[in-house]
Amino acid sequence: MATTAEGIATGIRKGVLEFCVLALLEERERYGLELATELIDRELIASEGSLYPLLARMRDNDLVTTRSQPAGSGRPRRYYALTRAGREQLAAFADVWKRLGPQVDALVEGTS
Amino acid sequence: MITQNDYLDAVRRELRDLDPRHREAVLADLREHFADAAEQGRSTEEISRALGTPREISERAYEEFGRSGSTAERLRTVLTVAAIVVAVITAVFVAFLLPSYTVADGTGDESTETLAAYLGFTAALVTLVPALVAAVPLVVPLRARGVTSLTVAIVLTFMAVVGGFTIGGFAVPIAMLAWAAVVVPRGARRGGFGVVAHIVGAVLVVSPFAVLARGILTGTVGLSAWGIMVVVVITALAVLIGFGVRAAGWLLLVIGAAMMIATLIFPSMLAVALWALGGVYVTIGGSHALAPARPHGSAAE
Repeated sequence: MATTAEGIATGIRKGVLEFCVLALLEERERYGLELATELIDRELIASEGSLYPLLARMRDNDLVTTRSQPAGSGRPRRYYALTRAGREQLAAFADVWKRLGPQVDALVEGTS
Repeated sequence: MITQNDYLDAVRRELRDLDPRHREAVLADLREHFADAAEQGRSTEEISRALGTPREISERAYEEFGRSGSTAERLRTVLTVAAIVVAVITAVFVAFLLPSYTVADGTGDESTETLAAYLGFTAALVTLVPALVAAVPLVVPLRARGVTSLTVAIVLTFMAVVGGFTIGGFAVPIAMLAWAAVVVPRGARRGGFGVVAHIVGAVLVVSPFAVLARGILTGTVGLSAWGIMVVVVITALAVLIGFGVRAAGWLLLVIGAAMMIATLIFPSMLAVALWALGGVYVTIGGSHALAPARPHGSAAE
């Protein structure tokens, strides 16, 4: 039933990915590749490229903002950071998740 | 072997229905991703594989933003409908209102009749052909609309030129709008119109004055105070359009429409010229008002 598991994971990821990006940016500013690598390691995205349309939309919604900073080689690198609206969004999500997460855990506990 | 440019070009193609602003944002991030990943020692091959297929990226993008290719196609629809409306009005005017046939009644008196009165109602329906041609882009499948628009613009231009020998330049506004339905969506897809397009538009707006200027210089044309004011207002609007001021487009559109309506109400010697000029103003004004603009001074990537 690998396809079912994959389908479920895809659905849940879709719902939480945006907030995971906000949480990663709350820790510190990050550039695109950094975010992509981190999200792949945590199995939150299936391919690195799918991050960028999301970032573009989040920037359009004014949840994140970008800043150019010189990288090691002197090339300017685009860093993503949270805006105030992004911080508020993340706090709202954290509230929901704290209530919802344990409920889901309690329900599925002992099922497997 | 896939290169970075191959990959980015493929993504750009897949994202053609995305708002250009968002498309460029995604492409800029991908370019950085390639540069950063290459610095970490990853090969182009590895980087593209990890990014996923261009199709995967575009699907995600359309989920986030929706297909706004629609922006370009909406503009095409608006301009095509404008061409059809103008074509229908032109047909009614030419067939039923314009006295264009001189009839001698044998007693030495002459009267002028309209095309419908002279040739009959059925023959008058022929004047609706340009309207039918102009409507074709609306009924073909979406992917064929671009090519169809271009074909229609060429056909209508041909008809305007041929018609020019008989009924004059009445078909000029239809052909102009058909060309706008080709050019404006194309510009919208490419991220909006820049300073060059705006200056071309401005020059087109004032170009009819060149004829006037020659007449004034040779003394064959004298301008009334009213005429001078019109020239000044239109020139000012042209300058504002050159600078990319959107409101100037709306105002020019209104002036052009007023000229066309005036032609219908008070047919005169100058009807054809006024109608054609009004059509030019409606087309350029409307296109400028509707088309997305690129901020002046920022180069396209």
